[in-house]
Amino acid sequence: MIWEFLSTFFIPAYILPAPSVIFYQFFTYEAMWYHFSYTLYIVLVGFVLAVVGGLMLGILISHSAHLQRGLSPILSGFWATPKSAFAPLFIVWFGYGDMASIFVVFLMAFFPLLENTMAGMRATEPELIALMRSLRANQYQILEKVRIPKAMPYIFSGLKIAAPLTVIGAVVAEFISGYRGLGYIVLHAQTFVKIPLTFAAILAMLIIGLCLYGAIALVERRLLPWVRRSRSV
Amino acid sequence: MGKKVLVQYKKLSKTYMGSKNEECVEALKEITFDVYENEFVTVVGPSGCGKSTLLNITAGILPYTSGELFIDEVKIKEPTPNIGIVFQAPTLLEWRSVLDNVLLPVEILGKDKKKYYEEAMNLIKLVGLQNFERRYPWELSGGMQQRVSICRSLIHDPKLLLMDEPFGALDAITRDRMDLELLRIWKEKRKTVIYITHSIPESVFLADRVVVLSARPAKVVKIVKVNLPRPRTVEMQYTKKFKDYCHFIVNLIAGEAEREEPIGSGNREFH
Repeated sequence: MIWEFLSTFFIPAYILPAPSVIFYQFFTYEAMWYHFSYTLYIVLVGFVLAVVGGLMLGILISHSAHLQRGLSPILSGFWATPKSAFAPLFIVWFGYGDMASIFVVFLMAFFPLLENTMAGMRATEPELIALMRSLRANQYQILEKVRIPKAMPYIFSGLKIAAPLTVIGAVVAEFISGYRGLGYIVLHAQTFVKIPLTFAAILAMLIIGLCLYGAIALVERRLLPWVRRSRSV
Repeated sequence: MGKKVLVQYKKLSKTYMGSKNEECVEALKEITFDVYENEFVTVVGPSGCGKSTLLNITAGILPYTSGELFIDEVKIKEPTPNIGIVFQAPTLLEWRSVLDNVLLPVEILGKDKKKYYEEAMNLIKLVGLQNFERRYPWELSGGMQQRVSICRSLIHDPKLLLMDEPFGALDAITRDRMDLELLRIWKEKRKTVIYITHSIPESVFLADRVVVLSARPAKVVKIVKVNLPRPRTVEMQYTKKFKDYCHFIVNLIAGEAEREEPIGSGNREFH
């Protein structure tokens, strides 16, 4: 409301358009849906790949303390590096198509997921493991019945962290490759100084991010009802 | 008396091997004592003396360095499911109902859950949690969760129950109540119990005999037979006899071994 008011009367349109203008652009720009769905597709594919890869690798690595020690510094190093900085490199590798963007998204989501999965795998209380072993449980029973469910809250934390990152990754990659998607819209809008369109694209990104995050939160609430209550440690 | 021996520790020793430059830690030194069937034995000792090591070895999940351990005349070298364990933390699985938590050991052992359903319900009722079988751990208090943990330790009908300070995390009032509950359950189920605790009054209150361990490396300092009538009552804790027992054990642990028998304590074995 305040925004609308300020925008209409005080702030020049090229800095911050009124919400009404933004929404109008959002709904009337013909190619909006095309680019929106493209970015959505990139985000989802990259995210799913990261989930599968991150979880599997996380569980695998947790099995061997050896692997953990060996890979830890390497992984930390990779995580700290901004993956989007690699986007131009990926375009050289993969060409201007979808692969480069998907790969950036994958990398951005992969590391938080991996880290959180590994943290989750460490979360089972040693007493519980002792109990299982006293009953002669084998590795897989322990994994399936105890360690993985115990890791779930951590994994979901990782998912919620990774979700917004995927949108960032997709958009940055699209900036670089500049041929499709919401990132492309932003570039295009900049070229023609269509500020409301820029904001409309940003709004679209927001929607994707929120929906993804919201979906994860919803699933978490269903699958892990105990997480929000007080947990016994 | 013709009582059958269930657990035999014969010069049981455990040394943790250090890695590279770390020194080896001698945790247990020639622990020797017997536990009779249906007996309630408590183990006391200073912090870090190796009580949990003893428990893990008894459960078969920690190898020992030398000596022998027999449970039911079987030499123990690996985990034996003939044991139930209760830890200080309830460690229930949050995503399972009380009933499913109780049935966990049966699942692991590959037995038919349905056959144990009735027994699980009986146990749940025994600990006073009837109507809670469909609830989840987060809906229960610490004491209730610990009671579920006790059910879980009994579902597969083990002969031996190992308890590592099970009520240590509870408040004092609940702890006293749980001690009485435990004695009631023990009387009902007729199990053999080895109960580890820090609390000397608790050790005397619960036990037929108290095994007193020294500081690390843990040795058996003395085994004190508690000649108090059963069923134990809260009132007994205020009698002179009870206090004498406690005093005696405190002194043992403090390193001043009493030579004469405390007044009215009856027999006192030592190995």
